[in-house]
Amino acid sequence: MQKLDNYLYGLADKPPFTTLLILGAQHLVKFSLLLICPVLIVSMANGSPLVASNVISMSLIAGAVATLLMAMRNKIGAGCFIPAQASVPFFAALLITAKIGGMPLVFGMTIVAGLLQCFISPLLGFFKKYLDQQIAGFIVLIFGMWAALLGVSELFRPGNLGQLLIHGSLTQLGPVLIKSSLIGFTALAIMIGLRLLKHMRLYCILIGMLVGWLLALAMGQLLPERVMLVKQASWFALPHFLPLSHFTFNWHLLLPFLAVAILASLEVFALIAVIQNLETKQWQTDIQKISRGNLAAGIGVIFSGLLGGIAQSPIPGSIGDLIATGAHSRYIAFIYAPVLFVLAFCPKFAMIFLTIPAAVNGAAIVFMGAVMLMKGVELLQIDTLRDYQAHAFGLAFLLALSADIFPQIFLQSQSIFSWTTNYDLMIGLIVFIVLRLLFRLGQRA
Amino acid sequence: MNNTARPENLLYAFDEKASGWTLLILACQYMVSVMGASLIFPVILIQEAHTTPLISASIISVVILVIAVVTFLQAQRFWLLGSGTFLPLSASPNYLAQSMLAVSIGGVPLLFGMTMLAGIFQGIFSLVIDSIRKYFPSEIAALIIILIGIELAMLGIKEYADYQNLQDTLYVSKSFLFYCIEFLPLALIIIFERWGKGFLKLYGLVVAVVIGYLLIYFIGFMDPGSLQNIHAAKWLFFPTLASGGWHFNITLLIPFAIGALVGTIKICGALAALQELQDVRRDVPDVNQIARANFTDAMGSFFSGLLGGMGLNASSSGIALSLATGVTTKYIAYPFSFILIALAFCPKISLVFVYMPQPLIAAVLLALGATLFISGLKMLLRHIKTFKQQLTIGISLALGLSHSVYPDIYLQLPGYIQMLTGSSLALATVVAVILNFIFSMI
Repeated sequence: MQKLDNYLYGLADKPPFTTLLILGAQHLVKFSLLLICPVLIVSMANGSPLVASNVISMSLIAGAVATLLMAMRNKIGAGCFIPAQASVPFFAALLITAKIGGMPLVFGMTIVAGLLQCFISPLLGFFKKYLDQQIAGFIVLIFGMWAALLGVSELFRPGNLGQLLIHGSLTQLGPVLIKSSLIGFTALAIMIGLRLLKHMRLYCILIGMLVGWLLALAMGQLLPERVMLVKQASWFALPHFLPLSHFTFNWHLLLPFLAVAILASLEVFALIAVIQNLETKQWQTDIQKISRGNLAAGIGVIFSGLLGGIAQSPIPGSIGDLIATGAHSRYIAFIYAPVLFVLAFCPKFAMIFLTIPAAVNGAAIVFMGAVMLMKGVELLQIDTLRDYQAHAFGLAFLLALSADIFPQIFLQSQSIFSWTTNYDLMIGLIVFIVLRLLFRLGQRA
Repeated sequence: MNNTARPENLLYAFDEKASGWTLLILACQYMVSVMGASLIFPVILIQEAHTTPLISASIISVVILVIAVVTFLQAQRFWLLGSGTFLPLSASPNYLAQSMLAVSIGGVPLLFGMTMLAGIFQGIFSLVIDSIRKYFPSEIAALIIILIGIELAMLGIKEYADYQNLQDTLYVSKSFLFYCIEFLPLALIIIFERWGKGFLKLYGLVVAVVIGYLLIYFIGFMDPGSLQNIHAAKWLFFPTLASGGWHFNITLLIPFAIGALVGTIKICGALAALQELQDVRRDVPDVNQIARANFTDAMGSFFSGLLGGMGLNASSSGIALSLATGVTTKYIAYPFSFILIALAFCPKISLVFVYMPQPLIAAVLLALGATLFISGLKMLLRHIKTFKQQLTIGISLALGLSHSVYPDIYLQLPGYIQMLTGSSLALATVVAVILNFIFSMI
């Protein structure tokens, strides 16, 4: 397959200020619905709205810091822009943690999660040989599938955890809402149409979402409870730090968190490797850079816990956004992060983003998921693989997909897979790596 | 004209002859993968329809008989019939949802009538294939192959899950032996494929299934109900043809037409893939051969409906096996059809295939599903050249997969939309065709 993702602004390119501003806004609008994640975790821990408000503000500050850390390029940071928001891999683990030990345990274990991810960073270099194009392609492909599936679900029927969890006992799914799905499909059509127009490519997702949002407003399709949240929120609030007694740890949770931290590190590897690939147009992984990027992601997570927020990590879906728009300049981080920071002190503004209809968000996720699916297929370069290597990939992918189709097989209670949001990726990666190693037996050098 | 580039993994080309023994063992291998996997659908349908044992046995016999005759015709080339390829038929999952609906509305006569119509639809599509082909470019055919691969594999994994439930019937505790036996066939298939040489490489599938079947039978892990049915079956049996006649229903026209359309595109994709296997440099498929293959294939559903069976289409596992082993010779059709005709009148032996233990069906479906999935991806990579194509396939794939994960969403949609979203394959095909049409205009 030819490379089709010619970019408009590379890592080191500095777009004009207005362009940067709009690109920053685009990422903010796209991913701002993830602001609901802290609310869900606090409600799982039976926390008050006041606690939820503080956790949102602190998470936003942590997200800003994590994004900036990733954009740095000295001892830490990969020197690229990957927006940070509620951590996808750790989300399921934090939900369970909130149920077991309330918010103090969530903050404590968030710090542990970050420490574990930092600890893994230098080890990535040892596994350089195994972290190849196929593994990155596999991760991007599964993420594309995950995003696309969630996007379709959001398009048709909003669920309380529909943005992150495909299945799970905690996911409550409502009925299909035809009117809002139509708005969603309109937004999707606009995104696709604009993406095909050369000069509108940069802002296709933003414009599609804004039009969908306005349509929903005009047709009275905004969720009343979200509108109420905006009305209740204050214009200015100063988040406060937590006393030391507010952090607790449970060492029994160390193993599942370690498993999720490994997965999170592999995700960071795939995201950074793909951005490098977009730039150089060939497969060259700078493992030092990836290791520094993972360290930045780990520190971001520690910071989230210390501040009293929930884990903030690079958003995997953002890679779809970067490929679709063709803008991956690291300078976007310097606009995106300060805006997050400002939002932390202005809850009313932050809450406004939560009124974006789930169907419109779903449209953007389907669009980005489709782009990621195809990027994953391209990276895998399946036509260059030997038959048995291709078979290893095929079986691993199909088992990962089967985890989404038959969750009852894999997601039994006590299963390590229920600790991560991306259990499909975890299952697929284990099978892929094991089969690849196994198939190497008897291979002539 | 011998300027084709023969690929490394092509073992027997369309017209290449093999020795009698080789053909016989190859035919057995196809029997195992095509019959075991494809007779699931009539069995599901019969269970759903609550028909009498006589009608159930007749449906299975008719399906086997028509598969035998049409597969034989497919390997010939005279008048409008035959494409000169070995393209075994099987009961098609494309028609399963529609057939179940037909049976629930109007019993088996409605099933037979609508199946006949599906055959006529496919026949019409095959006649105009040259002019409608631009709406179904190769990347859409590749998408269909990918989705069929996924569908096969998911059926396999479901079989594994169902087999776990059998433990209660057998009073077997979750013993190590039970798990070993359950996953042994799959392990054997993988081992033969990776490390097998010569005989085992070529016939790995049938060897694994035979070993697995014998072990399961002798250890006593077979479903007692199935064993009883096999014991009770007759050695010789003449099916009752189309009992109750043929009925038609206008509301089922579109769902059956979509089933036929998906079948048509599937053959386009399958044959294009098999043609590429003959000659790696081939860019443009041989449309004449594809049209003939489709016309002959359409006769499968037509005669199946006429005689009292369910919708048929080229077997996905058969295509996968050809792609996996590189064996495409049309001469396999002779022993294959001959054995099947015998089986059609001998339910005792055909039931051995019908009640093939679940771990064996699961292993075959999963292994062949993976092969088809990979072949589809390879084909996709060769044909995708523009961002529009990428978007068409990406979005269709996303929607198709979502149907498997969230089937309940599509059941809540209005009735007229549900006609287009009956299965992940139908949904993805419809979306891909629409997007391809829109993109071709901008």
